[in-house]
Amino acid sequence: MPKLPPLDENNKVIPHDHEEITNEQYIIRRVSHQHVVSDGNGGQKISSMLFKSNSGELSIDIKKFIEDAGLDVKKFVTNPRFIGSVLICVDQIRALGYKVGYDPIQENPYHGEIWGNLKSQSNIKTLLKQASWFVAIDGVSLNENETL
Amino acid sequence: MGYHSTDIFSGLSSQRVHQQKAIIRPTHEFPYRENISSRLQELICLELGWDGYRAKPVSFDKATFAMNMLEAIYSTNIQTNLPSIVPGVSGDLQIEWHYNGYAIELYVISPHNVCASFYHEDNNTAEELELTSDFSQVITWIKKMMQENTNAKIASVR
Repeated sequence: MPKLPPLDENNKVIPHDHEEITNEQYIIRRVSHQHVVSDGNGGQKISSMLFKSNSGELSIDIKKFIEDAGLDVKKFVTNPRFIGSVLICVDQIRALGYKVGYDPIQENPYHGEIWGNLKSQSNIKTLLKQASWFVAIDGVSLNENETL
Repeated sequence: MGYHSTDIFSGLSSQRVHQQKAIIRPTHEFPYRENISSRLQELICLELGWDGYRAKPVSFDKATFAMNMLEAIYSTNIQTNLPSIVPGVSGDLQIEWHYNGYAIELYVISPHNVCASFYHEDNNTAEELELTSDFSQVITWIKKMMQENTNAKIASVR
């Protein structure tokens, strides 16, 4: 099991860069059909809301932790409600000034968080450009670099 | 919770009219009212954790504000398509229009606290504003987005 994260006096995880989430690893963000929007030209794309958070924290799955537990990662992060998922390299997230840490919860021991300013349009656009499909949604474009 | 799509914002009419006067005085009918009301109703009724993690449903006050804001924008007789409305993880929401590579995003963090942005996907820069009750710049952006589309069509015909 990964080393437990630092906690504050209310047992809430303190924003941190977890030492076992190294820069070459990948995190996963699940995609709900709620994130799919019209691209205005007859197609569909993923909304920037996939990465926006007013609270400054965004839930993720830590891919390596799921793999280390011997689970099928794609099966673990996918179900009829969250039909797709994307990957981003931890290094690219930290390069934007965000912290990437571990925040296990009862229903997901591989749950982590990204902490930082998740309202900045330029950062959100960068995250979307850097993301790639892990479990793709048919007919939905993730970013403008992608060809379907 | 069984809201009826046409009922969800009823009872707020006097408040809405008051707010509209403070924002943009409406002069025309609101073209997408039913579609938008129905979508907001759906987002208010989302279950906790709808994103696969810990996301909350959209809060009623933010949905109501979004409705008022869109009514004010569309009441200026602006010509554009129906926007997408996307829930956020904190009970917030975003209204967005996409057209020919252009994007307008109105991130409703709380009532009268909107992060607005306008950009083209091929361009790394974006116009970003924090809006409270004056959404005239959004109308300017929509006109620009639609005009660029018209110009592109004219150019392609030539």
